[in-house]
Amino acid sequence: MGMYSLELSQPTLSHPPLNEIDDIAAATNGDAAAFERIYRRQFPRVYLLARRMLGAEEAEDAAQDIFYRAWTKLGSFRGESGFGTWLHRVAITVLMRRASQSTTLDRREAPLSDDHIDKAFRPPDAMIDLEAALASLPLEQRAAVILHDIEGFSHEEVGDLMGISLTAARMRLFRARAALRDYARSRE
Amino acid sequence: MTHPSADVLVAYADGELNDPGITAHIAACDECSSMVATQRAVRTAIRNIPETFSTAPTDFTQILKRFERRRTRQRFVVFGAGLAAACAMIMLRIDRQPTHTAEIAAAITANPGAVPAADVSRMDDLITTMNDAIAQTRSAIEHDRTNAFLRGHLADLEARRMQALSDIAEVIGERSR
Repeated sequence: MGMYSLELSQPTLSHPPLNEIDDIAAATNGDAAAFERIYRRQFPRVYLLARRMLGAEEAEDAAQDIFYRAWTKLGSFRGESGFGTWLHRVAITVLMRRASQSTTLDRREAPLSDDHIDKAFRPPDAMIDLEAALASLPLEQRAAVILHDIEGFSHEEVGDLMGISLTAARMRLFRARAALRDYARSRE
Repeated sequence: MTHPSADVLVAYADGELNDPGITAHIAACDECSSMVATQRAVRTAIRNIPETFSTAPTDFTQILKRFERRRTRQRFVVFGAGLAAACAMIMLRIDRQPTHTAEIAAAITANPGAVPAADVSRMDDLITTMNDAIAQTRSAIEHDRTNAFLRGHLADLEARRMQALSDIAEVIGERSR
């Protein structure tokens, strides 16, 4: 698979380029060529989401699974939310199901650290390995931090995508960041 | 001093909460301001990490074929599991008191004493198993309405059930003469 570093911003799932809108309309009417173009454009970000959620080993198959499900469920896309949000919902459903079936993932819920006072905290701007740090998180926290801090969804949208309340989404985000801070500290 | 809860602090840290009371508390509380700073610092660090993208490795048509094959295999596994469950139900019914299906009950009521109880029980089992299989297949079709294999299977099951009911009615009719 071709890999490349990207310095400039990519079209995000939340904000598709204009030509994508035509393709989405055509694909929902069964135009496979239009969906192929959507797939080509969206694959990089969906693959990245899958890799961060499940790890590199399973990411490619999971990303393909997401597009297969999206194609088979396109009829349920009514345009009430943006296509990116809808595709994210499909992605999160697939990724959470696959993660829950995986025996290789550590799904323990990490306790919230009592050490809230963090005067000496240094921003882990040289955070060693993002994927390793994310992989250390319980699945639900990992999803929350990826959706908010990386994908840019609001707290409410994170809750909606994950099927949890706004308060629960915020708690997961809080715990995830506290755990990432602890992870960075443990490697100092 | 009562501190705001964690969900309130994270909402404040991410700019989703603008409450003067919370702002004043955080400004005056080292513990809470430290937690807010941590939340923001980790968020910033995550956002600043460069992303590595990958290009799509294959055509979507190839993915479609591969996942359709995988789905077909899974359907056969589910169908096999359903068949095994139906067999298990038959085995369990051997020692149970017969509970007549509506069709058998009607035939027995019309011709009382015509058929031995053991035979009636076997007829009940046969029709019940077929009814269960039909219900399971209908349920599967609800999730996959365009599946030609399942639709064909349902038509076959219904035809066999009609034939079985016809055979049973004939047997009961003959014995009652």
